[in-house]
Amino acid sequence: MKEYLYLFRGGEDPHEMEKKAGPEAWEQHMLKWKTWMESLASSGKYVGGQPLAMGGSVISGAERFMTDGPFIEGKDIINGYLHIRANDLKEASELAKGCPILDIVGSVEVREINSMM
Amino acid sequence: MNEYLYLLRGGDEARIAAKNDPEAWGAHMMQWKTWIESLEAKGHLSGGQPLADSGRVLREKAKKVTDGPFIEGKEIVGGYLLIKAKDLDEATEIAKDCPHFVYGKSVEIREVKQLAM
Amino acid sequence: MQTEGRIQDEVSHLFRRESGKMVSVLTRVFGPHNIDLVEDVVQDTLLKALEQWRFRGIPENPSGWLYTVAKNKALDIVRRERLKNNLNDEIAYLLKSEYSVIPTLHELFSKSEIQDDQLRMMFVCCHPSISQETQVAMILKTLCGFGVREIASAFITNDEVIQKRIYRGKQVFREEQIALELPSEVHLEDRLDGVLQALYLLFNEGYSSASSDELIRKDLAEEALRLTLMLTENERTALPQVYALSALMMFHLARLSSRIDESGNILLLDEQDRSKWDERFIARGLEYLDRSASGDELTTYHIEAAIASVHATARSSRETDWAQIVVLYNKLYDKNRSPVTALNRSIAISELKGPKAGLAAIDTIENLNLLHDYFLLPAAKGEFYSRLNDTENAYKYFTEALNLTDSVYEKKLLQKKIARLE
Repeated sequence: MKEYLYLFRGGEDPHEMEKKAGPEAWEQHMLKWKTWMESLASSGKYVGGQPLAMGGSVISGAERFMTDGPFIEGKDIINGYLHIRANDLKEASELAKGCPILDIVGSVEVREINSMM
Repeated sequence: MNEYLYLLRGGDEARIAAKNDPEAWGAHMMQWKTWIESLEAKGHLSGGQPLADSGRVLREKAKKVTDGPFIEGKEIVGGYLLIKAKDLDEATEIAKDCPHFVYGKSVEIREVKQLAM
Repeated sequence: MQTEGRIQDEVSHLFRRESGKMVSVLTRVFGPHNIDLVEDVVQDTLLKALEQWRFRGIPENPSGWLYTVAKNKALDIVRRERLKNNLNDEIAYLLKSEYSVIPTLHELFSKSEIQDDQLRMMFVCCHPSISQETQVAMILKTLCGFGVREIASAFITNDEVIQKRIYRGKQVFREEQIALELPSEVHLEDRLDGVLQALYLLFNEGYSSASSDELIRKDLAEEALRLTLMLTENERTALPQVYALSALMMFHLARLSSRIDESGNILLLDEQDRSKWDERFIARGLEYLDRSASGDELTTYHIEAAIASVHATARSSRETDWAQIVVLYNKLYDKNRSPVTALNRSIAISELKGPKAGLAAIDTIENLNLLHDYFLLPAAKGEFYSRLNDTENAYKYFTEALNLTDSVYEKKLLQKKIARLE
């Protein structure tokens, strides 16, 4: 079993979603997340993960130059991650298809966790 | 106490070059080990891993799968760390000591988002 | 604007009902080892309700209001404790991630989950490494929302004794890493036995305790029935013996209020106004006794319920089928070999064959010395001698009984009997 990291981008803003489809729409969406995570956990694939707040800071270069917020624009900002287990990249990608962010115009980047060597 | 995700970007070529020099690479790995130990000792560490270069991206409803990361012209995420800190300032300060800067370009520091009830 | 007094009355009733539920759900969130943290959250929630309702009045859906506040407080603490890995292991992964914590909390506070959690909590309180008297105290504290003072008053003891029991109970919660779940199939019946014993004890404490606080006694008996009925509502625990215990409690509850007259005197079976017996309880008791008849095991609860049903359906003491009752006591004695059962059987024998037969039956009780400080033994003997017009012996035994009981009611009854002799 290998480990993979999902990086999430895009998706709809909860406030926009509530405006468009009512407060239950967001609740329903979050329920999908819970169900998906439960199904991953029930087959021993789930490790952990969190959504990320929009702000933040970036430190770059040997001189540790600091700027506020991620400097990538809009839809390219990573807004969450999930750590899972899968046999290979193919299975990890299959499992990622269940991710609810794909239903709301988001994307999942699937990356294998590596050894440094 | 909050949780922060560090997204480690850049420096892949420099790292590949360094790996050819066992002594330099060994010293670098030791820097990581020492840093991780000090994070753990101060109760800052939650987890983290380097990521393999290749991977896949799933996009939106069609769940269209493409190989590889990723974002044109941008540095891809090469690793992550999950850190406990009291605020963004402390999380940023801690990141300044990250051995990633030896070869890498930047560390993006992002707070775990608390969704509203 | 509602008056302070009215708010407090309504609130204390609601609080007791809801705090047991909130404790159960929050124990699911934080784990039994965090019982103190759980009680703090419930306490804070109730305090906030008191503060706000005093000014704004009681909201339309007070339970919902409490759950919302408890949920929000729980969310804050989950966010703090997840960094220390201090959550209930079983669902920690759902609570740790912001992607799932909110829907998970909503779900835990839903009706069906609350019910299941109370059931699980019952098994935690009745864990075999907790002594039986502590089990009962823990049930009252966590599941019934009773305060230490109320529990102490129910058990006619002081706060300190109860506090010590609860301390020991919580210690087991913390140290034994008890999981909040129904026991597995293999252990279920064994563990259920323990739970039923504790509920039976709780019921008896209410039904025949020496406490003079009638309200608390009634509460205890009703809480015992509520929790027993909860066991009948889960398919895994709805076993014949649970129906039998429910039936037993219903038959007794049917005549609870006829047992004591207005001036606080115990009325014996033949003195009670049977028209005041609650027929709905008797009907339900018969229905549950019927349901208990499946399976091939005859438990002591089955037999005791059957005895209670004979009493409950007889039109008078004289018309009671005493022969049937003696047969049932024989069966019960075969099962439990208890001298108390044998004593009760001799009372039934005296009703069937006269006081002499009753005295003879007492003389043959095995291990009679176990009853040397049980007031009902001399009380029964006194009664038999009194019926035989042997005033001297009747007086001797009634006086002996009087010295052995602390119950205000029983003392009054015995004094009445002594007065009648003179």
